Amino acid sequence: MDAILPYIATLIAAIGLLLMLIARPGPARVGGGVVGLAGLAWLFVQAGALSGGVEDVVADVLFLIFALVAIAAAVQMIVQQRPVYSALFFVLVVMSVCGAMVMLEAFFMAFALVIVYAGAILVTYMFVLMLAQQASDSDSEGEIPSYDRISRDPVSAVFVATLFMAIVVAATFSGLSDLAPAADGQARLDADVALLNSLPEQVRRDVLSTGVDVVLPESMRGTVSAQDGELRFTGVDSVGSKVAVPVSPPGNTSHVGWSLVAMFPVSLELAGVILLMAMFGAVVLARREVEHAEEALAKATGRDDSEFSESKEDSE
Amino acid sequence: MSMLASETFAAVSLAHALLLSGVLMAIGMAGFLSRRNLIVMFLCTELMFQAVIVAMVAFGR
Repeated sequence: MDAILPYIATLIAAIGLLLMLIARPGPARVGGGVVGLAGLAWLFVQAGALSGGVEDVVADVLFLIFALVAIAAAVQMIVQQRPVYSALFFVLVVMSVCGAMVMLEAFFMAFALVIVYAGAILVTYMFVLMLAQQASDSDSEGEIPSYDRISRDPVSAVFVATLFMAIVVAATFSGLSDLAPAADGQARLDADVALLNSLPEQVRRDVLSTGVDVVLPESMRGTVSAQDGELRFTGVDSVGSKVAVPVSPPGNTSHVGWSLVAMFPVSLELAGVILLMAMFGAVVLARREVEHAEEALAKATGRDDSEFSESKEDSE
Repeated sequence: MSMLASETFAAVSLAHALLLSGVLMAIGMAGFLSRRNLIVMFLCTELMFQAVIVAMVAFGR
């Protein structure tokens, strides 16, 4: 009986989502939201019991709060009739997913998401929405067009989503224990030592900033080691006796940057080339537009082309 | 900072992160299938990208 409970919770959440999709704004939609959130909360509680007790309750509770905000905003996003509100709710989704990322220790990812998604992509979306709406709103003032008001077959859409969710729930609740255990503290420490030994400049700066009397060797490689669970730089001071200076572990960004350069150089270069091509494409397209505009202006003002061609030759 | 972080934040369970990812993916899928506005459909694919990112980060720990 216990094995079937997560699926029942999924079904309750799906019914809530369906209610929100087909109901008009009003109490029915609010009721659907309450039902859906209750089902999801039940599902998350069951998943929490699955992993057998958490070490840090605060982090887990914060993660759950961010997760519920993200899910509620995502539902609002697909339920809202005006696309502009959808885009704004998507910003809320991105923000709360970033909070969840911080709880998952992916600090660099969180900040990159805020800058790239909330800062760049969403602004582009808003521009497109504003420009497209101007054109479509001219015939019906203030009315929401029918393609935004009436959704296309919400029942089968929710059915497909529920099927997918059931697969995810099955995989999460039965297969999670088969996964290999996460890296323990010792493995992390070893990885930090290896990373710091391949970043000699960072270690040099770190040791110099402590102000300890130490002679830094020409090659800094292999001078960092883990002692008693702490990272230490071992060197010689000006008198000649051995000295061990504690160094700070590499940060999240160091890990990301190093793994990008050391493990995926081809992908990095490819991404750079593709971005460069996109930039060239943008420049070429924009330039052609401007030329057309100038010609049109010349025609409209009735000036003959001789002036233009003369000035062009002058500039060349 | 990362020493401190790995001691403070090491408690979020993998099951919760995977469920968040799955729910976001399902909502994005439902939105993609039910909405008829092209721009909102693209927004729904972005929502599914978010779900993929959450899953990757969860497994990467």
